[in-house]
Amino acid sequence: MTLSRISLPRWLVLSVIVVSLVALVACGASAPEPAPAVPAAGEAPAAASAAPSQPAQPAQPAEPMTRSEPAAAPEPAQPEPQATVSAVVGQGAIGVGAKEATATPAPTAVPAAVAETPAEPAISQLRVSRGPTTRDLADPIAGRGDLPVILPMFEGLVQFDQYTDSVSMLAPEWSANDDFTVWTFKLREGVQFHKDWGEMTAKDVEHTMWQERRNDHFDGRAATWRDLLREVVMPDGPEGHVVELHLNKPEPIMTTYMSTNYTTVIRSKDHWDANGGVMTGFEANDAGIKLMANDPIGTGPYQFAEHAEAQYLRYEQPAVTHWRKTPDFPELRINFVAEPSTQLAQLVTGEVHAAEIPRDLQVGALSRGMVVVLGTTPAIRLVGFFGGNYLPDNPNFDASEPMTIPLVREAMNRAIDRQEINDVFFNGRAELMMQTHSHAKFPGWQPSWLDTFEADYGYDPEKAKAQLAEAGFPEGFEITQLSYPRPGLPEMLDIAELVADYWREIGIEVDFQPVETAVYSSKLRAKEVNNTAWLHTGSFTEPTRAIFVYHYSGARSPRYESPFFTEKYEALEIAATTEERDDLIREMGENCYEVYCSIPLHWVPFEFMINPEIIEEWLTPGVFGVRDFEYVKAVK
Amino acid sequence: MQRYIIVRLFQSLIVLFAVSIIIFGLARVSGNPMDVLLPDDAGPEEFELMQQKWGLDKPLHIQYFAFLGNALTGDFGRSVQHPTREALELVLKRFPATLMLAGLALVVSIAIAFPVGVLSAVKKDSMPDYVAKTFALMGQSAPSFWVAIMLMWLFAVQLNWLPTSGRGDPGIDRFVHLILPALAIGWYQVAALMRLVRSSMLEVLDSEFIKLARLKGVSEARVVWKHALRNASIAPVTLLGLLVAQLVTGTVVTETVFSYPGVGLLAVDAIRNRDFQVMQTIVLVFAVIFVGINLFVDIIYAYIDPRIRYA
Repeated sequence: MTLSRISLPRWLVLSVIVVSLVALVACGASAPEPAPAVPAAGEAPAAASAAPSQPAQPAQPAEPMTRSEPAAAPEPAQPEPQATVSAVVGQGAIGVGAKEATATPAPTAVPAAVAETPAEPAISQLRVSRGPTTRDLADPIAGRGDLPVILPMFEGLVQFDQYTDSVSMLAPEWSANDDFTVWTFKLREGVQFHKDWGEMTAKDVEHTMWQERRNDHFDGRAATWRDLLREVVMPDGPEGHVVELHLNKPEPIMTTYMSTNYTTVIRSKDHWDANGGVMTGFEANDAGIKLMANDPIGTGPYQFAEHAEAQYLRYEQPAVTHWRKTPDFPELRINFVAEPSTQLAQLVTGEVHAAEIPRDLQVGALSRGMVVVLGTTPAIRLVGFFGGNYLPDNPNFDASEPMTIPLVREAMNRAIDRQEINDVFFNGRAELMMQTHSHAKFPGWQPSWLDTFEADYGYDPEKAKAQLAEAGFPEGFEITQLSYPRPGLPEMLDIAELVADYWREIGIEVDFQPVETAVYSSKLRAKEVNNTAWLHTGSFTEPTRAIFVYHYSGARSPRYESPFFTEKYEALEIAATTEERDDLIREMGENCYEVYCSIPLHWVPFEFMINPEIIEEWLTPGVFGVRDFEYVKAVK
Repeated sequence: MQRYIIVRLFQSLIVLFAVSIIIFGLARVSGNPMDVLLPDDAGPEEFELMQQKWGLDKPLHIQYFAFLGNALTGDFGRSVQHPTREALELVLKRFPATLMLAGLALVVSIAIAFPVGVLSAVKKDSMPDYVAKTFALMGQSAPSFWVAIMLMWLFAVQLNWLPTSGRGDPGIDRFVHLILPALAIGWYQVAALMRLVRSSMLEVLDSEFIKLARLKGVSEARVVWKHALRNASIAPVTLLGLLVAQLVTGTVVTETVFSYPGVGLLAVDAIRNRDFQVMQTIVLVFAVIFVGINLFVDIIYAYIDPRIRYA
């Protein structure tokens, strides 16, 4: 019998055709995602037509904290960055170098309201691929991990700019009273909410601060805001352009908390009210919660257009020219793709123009002409911790455990070859970390660490063995090392295994246990990490929060506690001058450095890949992922 | 018959009850969801508040019975990841996409397995038979994620014929986006189905009525495709019933690789984000489907064959 004589039975052919047709019809019949609500004609909020009221004089600012707008600011919002474009060693790719770090983060000059001429890129829609968000929402309460996804459509009073500097955004001026308990923000006039929801005024800031304190807020700041913020005062009335934040206790770094990096982004009160949003205390009603998720309104350079669940968020340019930046690409689409290989395929086939490709997959894209872009700042904090270092009065504290002894911790630090980790995993691009919560860019930096680090922490396994013997453990000891995946650092498990091997080389018997993040977190919170070490990652944030998270005994899961840290952190919370804060942070840093409270490893730059035929330049810190979409320069 | 149905129904309920305990327990032994959902700098107060909000502050048995009681009324709670949505609503909304994918995968399986199985049987121990068996063996041996990535690499990256991932826009674009994931899932099912078609065909082709048909001068094509295949289809068609359930629930890896927004991807997202409400809902819904199909099949068998219900 030959193949030509084989003919399919009719029932089989018909079945296949029918099922195919049903599938095809079903594909076409599926309803598209609902369009976001837009105010109907004649339904425009009152604020849209209200003339801006004359702003009152802001309170006399405290000298060191005053930042004011220059009298004339003819230049565009973003100062031209001093970035360099250079070949990344060994890969032939383009890396955008970071601007030189500054010792103290000073808010820079306020951008002027300049509307740039829209560019004409080769394509109109910039498409970016990234991992799925923690919460599939377009709501600012989603949490900081999802910040880059919502930032295109929102703005804050202060922005965390392309170099992680705090820079004016919707507030051209701010000031604080002498003890930092009253902060006054002067708002930029004429800034419009998207989709005709009117001008941003003081009432919108007040509304935002209620939203920030919502009980369903999945970010660490919500509870802090509820504790900190006593009252929002509008001296010029709700339609004015001045707000005063009256606090229950001093807060010198208020501009950080009011910045986009803490998702303190301004939402429209008129939009909320007109669509049935109601706040009862700190509880938002269902209509309000759904409104924020499905139809977010902000003042950003892009406005929300469409959210296809688990697929993408699409943005478009607002109808009015944006006060700060008209993006080169009129549309933006952010794809959510869990599998890195799929992101790679999307990039090399041209389905997207930028993607968060892990380092081990980059070669596949490099060979097809894509290039690597490095974040402008070291976005990922790679550190290690020694468990069991609770306060001495904690019942779980056991002073006989090896890792409670500073000399043992020093030995374990000396056992690690940091340069090898950098070379093997990060192609030498990571920055050596001197101390867990400090960086030259932040307050409390101690420059002498740069000179002494090699002598104090440098790789020296022989000395490490001698120190273990001196500490009473000539034969080593047994520890458990927990390891769990961390977002943004796919190499985490491999690095942790390498560190385990370093420790084994000096005689420590390591029981290496890969676990789920939730398992580790629950143990840590319950203070059940005795005789346990682990590596961890954090983001590039100012030191106060890092100290709180890692060292303050009042935090949820401190890693290294001591009476010294408790006392100093509590003093820091009420410190009333910048100098005092600086000193306290430095003191804590020096203490941590001297007692080897942790395992400082590296500040790792965020890396992503772009298609150079579409994107000319992209400057972003990469904190929490790709962002600063409005500043992406298109190839013309 | 009535007693048989009642007994089987009761057994099914016990299975579902056991599944509910297992999934509830598994969702919690892997750590407190709030430890993952809340950022590092959320303090103890925030943690307690969220625990209360999601009912995680109560003893486990209280949590379980609250979950069970609500589930019986169809209330599976709100999703943690999508707080504006009910967990069941989310699962049901994703079901059509998964059904569509499973349906096309089934078409792929049938369209390949039956002709290849027949050819393999007709050309027994020849090159086409060896090739077909190797093809089937590869389909069953290769990990589905690897097959998915290889298909994507070949058809999307190298040949640029098909899109890499996603669901596409309504219409033909959506159908085009289904092809690669359907092939990835379908190939695995092809293997089992093809081998069953082959063995059934070999058995039937050796039977007396086939020899008689050939002696009567019936054409070979008619003998193979009409007389032999029809009789050999009973076992494969029975297997198809089981495959449908496997196809619907076995899309997790493929949907993740192809970023296809069905129930499988929802399950992966829910696990990654500790969305315990959605995890519980998906498992229970799948369990109900499986148990329901099995119950239905048992009842049909009992109706057809009285010996089963009296056994």
